[in-house]
Amino acid sequence: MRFEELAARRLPAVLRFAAVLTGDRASAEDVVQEVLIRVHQRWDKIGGLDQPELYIRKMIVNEFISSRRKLPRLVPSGRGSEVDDRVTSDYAARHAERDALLGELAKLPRRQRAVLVLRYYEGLSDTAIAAILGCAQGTVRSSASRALATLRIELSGPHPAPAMPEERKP
Amino acid sequence: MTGSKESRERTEDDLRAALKTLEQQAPTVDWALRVAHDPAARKRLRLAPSAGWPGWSRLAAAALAAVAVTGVALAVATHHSGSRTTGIAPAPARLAAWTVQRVPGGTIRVTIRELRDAAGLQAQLRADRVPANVMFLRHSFTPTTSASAIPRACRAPHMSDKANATLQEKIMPFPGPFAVGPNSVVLVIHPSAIPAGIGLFIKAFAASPGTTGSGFALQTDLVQASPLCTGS
Repeated sequence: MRFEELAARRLPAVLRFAAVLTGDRASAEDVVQEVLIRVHQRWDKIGGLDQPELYIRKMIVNEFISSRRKLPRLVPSGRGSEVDDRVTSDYAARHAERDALLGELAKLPRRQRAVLVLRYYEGLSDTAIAAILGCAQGTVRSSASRALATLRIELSGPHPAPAMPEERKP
Repeated sequence: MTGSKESRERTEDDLRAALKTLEQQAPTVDWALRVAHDPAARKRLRLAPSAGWPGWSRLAAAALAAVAVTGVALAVATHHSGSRTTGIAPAPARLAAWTVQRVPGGTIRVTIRELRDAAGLQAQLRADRVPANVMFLRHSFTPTTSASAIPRACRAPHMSDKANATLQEKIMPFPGPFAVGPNSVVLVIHPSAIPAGIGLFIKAFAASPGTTGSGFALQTDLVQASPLCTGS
């Protein structure tokens, strides 16, 4: 397969994966640019693999986990006291909850976040995730479990659901 | 179904939906293809090539047009720069490994000809009030913008990539008037444009891939100025 063929067929999905993995476009570009240049330089080898796209995703995950740079992440845009339940539509409420969830997700250790993205966005099995991360399946399961527990705890703890109207201050 | 299981499944469903929304943050395919084919299109990373690096053919073509003039200018400047010419003491017919010159207006011009005595260059720049961390890699190297590319003693400044690139362009405009020679690379620095708390990381290395002869390249980035990283 030529690099251009892979780019035409698979690149959009790879870029979406990078965005979901990193959480924002700037971070996704940081990761993708490093990986794509290496892929392009080594295409004679990578292009001969059975599933080059899978290998590229593995490179993206590894680049994301190994990167020390901390870029701004999505954080909840509203505090409970700023949200008025009386005028908040269902859609807006869901949007706020989603923002809160993404904010908590951004705080997770990168390896845990990668596990959640590979499992819940990519729909991969723990076996496949373990192969990508180079760890045991048990490690994948425990990482996922810990991450989910953190999300549930965090969502019911420091970032509560929008406050009731009577809690608002003028 | 237990409450715990319900809660978990609800979290998982919410997670799937939330992750899906991040797709809109995906970089564009055009940008990705441009980067893949041309490393110079990468953001933040700035490379000054020496001659002979195929990946820089476009830039090199423009720069090489000035090679003859550059060579003469450098030779004269070096000859007359006296104590400001530093680095490894040159043999009679041999230029210094590197040269630091202060030109009118306070601009500093760094010419690197050989990957030797990075510590000396670093000390000279610091003496010229440029908080700098200099590294020479004498082996082949594929540059990267990841934070692991800067020394462990250094930290990346707190600014966006765009702000970083803009500031780098003010401090180290590239390509400068003498950006490249057949076996040298020149970096122009405007010390007055360096904000307090910011330092320069300069890495020169053997260009890769496809480099022939003594070709090498230069990578610059900004770091937080600190005693450990930039000397002040």
